[in-house]
Amino acid sequence: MSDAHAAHGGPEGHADHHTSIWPFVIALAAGFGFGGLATQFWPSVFAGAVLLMVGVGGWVRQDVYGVSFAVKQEVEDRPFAGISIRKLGMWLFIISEVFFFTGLIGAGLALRARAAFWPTPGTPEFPLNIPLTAINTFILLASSFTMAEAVHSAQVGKQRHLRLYLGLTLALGATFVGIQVFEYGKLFFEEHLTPWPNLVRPELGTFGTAFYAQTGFHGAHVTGGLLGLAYLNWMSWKGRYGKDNFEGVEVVGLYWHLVDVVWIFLFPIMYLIGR
Amino acid sequence: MIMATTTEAARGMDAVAHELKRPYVAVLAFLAIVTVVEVQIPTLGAAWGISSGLQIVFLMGTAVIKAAMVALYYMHLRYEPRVLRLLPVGPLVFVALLLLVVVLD
Repeated sequence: MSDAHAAHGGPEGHADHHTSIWPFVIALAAGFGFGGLATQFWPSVFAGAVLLMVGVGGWVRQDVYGVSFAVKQEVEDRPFAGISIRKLGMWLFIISEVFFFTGLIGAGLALRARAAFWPTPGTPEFPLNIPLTAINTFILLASSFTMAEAVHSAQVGKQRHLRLYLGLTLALGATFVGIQVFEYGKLFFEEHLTPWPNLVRPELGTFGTAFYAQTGFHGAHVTGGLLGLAYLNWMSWKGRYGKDNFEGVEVVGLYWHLVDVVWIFLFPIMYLIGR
Repeated sequence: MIMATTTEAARGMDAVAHELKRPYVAVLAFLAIVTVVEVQIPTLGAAWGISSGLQIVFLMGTAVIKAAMVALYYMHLRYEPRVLRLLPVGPLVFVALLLLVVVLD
């Protein structure tokens, strides 16, 4: 995200470009964390969480100080010759995320097919709040719009517009998560929809598991995107981005649109489709 | 110097061209309208006796169209080189295969 600094060698005065250890640390964190989750070995999960914080912190610190580890450059070899290396990397990451969510949604569909009971949307037994979530869906769609405008503003060098649209995107994204947390509270405590079977509404056990797993992972992705957006906002107020340096905004934007696309499928699957 | 000026001019023209071809507001309006229609489906389905299979086909169809609009315009795939446009299409075959297996199961 720091092409301008990299172009001048950064404040440390290095003319060459740096590699970074931090993506490797984050990958290690994922290995420890998910390995621990899979085996229910909690010290490994804890180690993964600590490594994640250290990795992200180190990466952000490196970027803030202008040390570039992924300077803007294009792929030289076919078939991707001429395409920005970071944009291509983000697209490959997005594809891996599509596989992840396909597996998650597929597992949800398998649960739905085998569940003894699955609530039908539009009936009194259906616990989810469709109108509220429809509004939340519009909020997320609107945040994609403001994000696209932010990328455009950076590309044409309109600093005030860039800061405005990045701020709006962050606010809309935070509102989406806030409404989802509010809905979780209502569902958990008032509708007795829990991720596990409970004694009050035991028939909703399978639905609850599928609902919280899918919307929870999506919400975690949105929250991760909010951290990226917060960083973009901070850097935009420092004047980092402009006509010659907008790729950071662009790649975070691609990720943000991904969470929007995932929700476009999750919303009808969980809220509008019965069995 | 002349080279630099020419490059700057080309960049300026690119920016203007890009500004002209960004129907972001229209896409948002489309997405919102389709979402409003989607939300009516459970109620209409019950009132008109539309089969759940038909409701699923309709809702997944609108979701695919909405996702395509976001990918094409907000993610700029429409303006990217052909190879980048095709990149996300390949994995979708595997996604379709996985979902097909789940549905058949």
